[in-house]
Amino acid sequence: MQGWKKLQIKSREIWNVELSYPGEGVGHEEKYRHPCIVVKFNKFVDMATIMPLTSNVIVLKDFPYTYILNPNNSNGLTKKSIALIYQIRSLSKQRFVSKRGRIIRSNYENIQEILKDYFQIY
Amino acid sequence: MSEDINIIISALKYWNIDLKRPDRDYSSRFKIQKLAYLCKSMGMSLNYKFTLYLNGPYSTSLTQDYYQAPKLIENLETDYKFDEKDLNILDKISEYVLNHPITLEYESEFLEAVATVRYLKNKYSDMLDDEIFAKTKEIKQHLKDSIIVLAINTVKKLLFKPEFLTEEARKEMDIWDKAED
Repeated sequence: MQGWKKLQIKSREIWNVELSYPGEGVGHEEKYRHPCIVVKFNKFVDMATIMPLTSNVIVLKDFPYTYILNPNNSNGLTKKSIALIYQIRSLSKQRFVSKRGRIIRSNYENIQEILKDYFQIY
Repeated sequence: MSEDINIIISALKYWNIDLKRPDRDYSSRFKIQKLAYLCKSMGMSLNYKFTLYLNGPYSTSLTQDYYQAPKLIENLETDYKFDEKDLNILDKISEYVLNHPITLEYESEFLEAVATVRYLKNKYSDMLDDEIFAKTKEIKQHLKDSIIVLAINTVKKLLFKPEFLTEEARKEMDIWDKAED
C-alpha cells in the first residue's frame, strides 16, 4: 500500500480493498482483500464511501438491498458478483490497494435506486 | 361467485383502500388483480388462478367475481376475519408495496412491476436478479428500469425469512464488519 496518498479514487470505480492492515491479518491477506464499488471519495478526510462486492452470490442473492453485477471489460470483475448495498460504509484511503475498473452507468444508476430505497430518500 | 371475493374485499378494507365500482373503473380492476395476486403468492388461501397477461398477473375467475359483486367492493361489505398469518401478509404488502414512496407518483407501474417480478420469481425460482430484470424488461418494455429494480428489491423484502441469515451469510458480513474505518 506504499504511495496510497497519490491514489486517485473516483465514484463508480471498483477497487480492491484491504480489510486488515499489514500485520493484522498475517497469513490471511488474500482472504481479506475484497473488491468494492466507490460511491463517494471524500478528499477532505481521505476516506471513501463504498459498497462491498462478493462472489458468494448464491448465499446472498435473496437479501434485499443487493445488486448482481456480471463481469465485463469495463468493471474488471472476473466472476459474477453481488454488491451488498446495505453494507455501505466509509473506509480510509489507506485500505485501497488497486483499481479493477469502473461499472457502467446503467448499473450504477440501478444501484443508486436501491440506495435511495435503503435510505428512504425520495 | 366464489367465497374468495370476501377475502379480497376484507383485504381492501384492512388496507383502507377506497375503490370505485370495478365494473365501471379500470384502475379499480387493475389494483384488485395485482393485490389479489400478491396476497395469493405470499401464501393466502385463494383459489384464483393467475396467468401473466398484458399488465401483469391476471385471473379470469377473479374478474367474474368482481363483475358479479361491484357494489360489495365499492362499499367494502364483508364480515370475513383474517387469522394472524394472513394479517402478517397484509402488513408486509402494506409496508413494502402500498406505502412505498414511489407509489405517490407511479402507483400502477410499481404494482404491475412488483406483481410481475413476483410471478416470474415463482415460475423461474432459479433465476437471479439480473435475469429477472432482463425478462421483465423484455415483456414489460413500458416499465422504467428504476421501477423494475425497485420491484425486484421489494419482492425480496416481501419474501425475506430470518432463515436466510445462514452461518455462511454471517461470515460474509463479518469480514466487512471488522473493517471499521
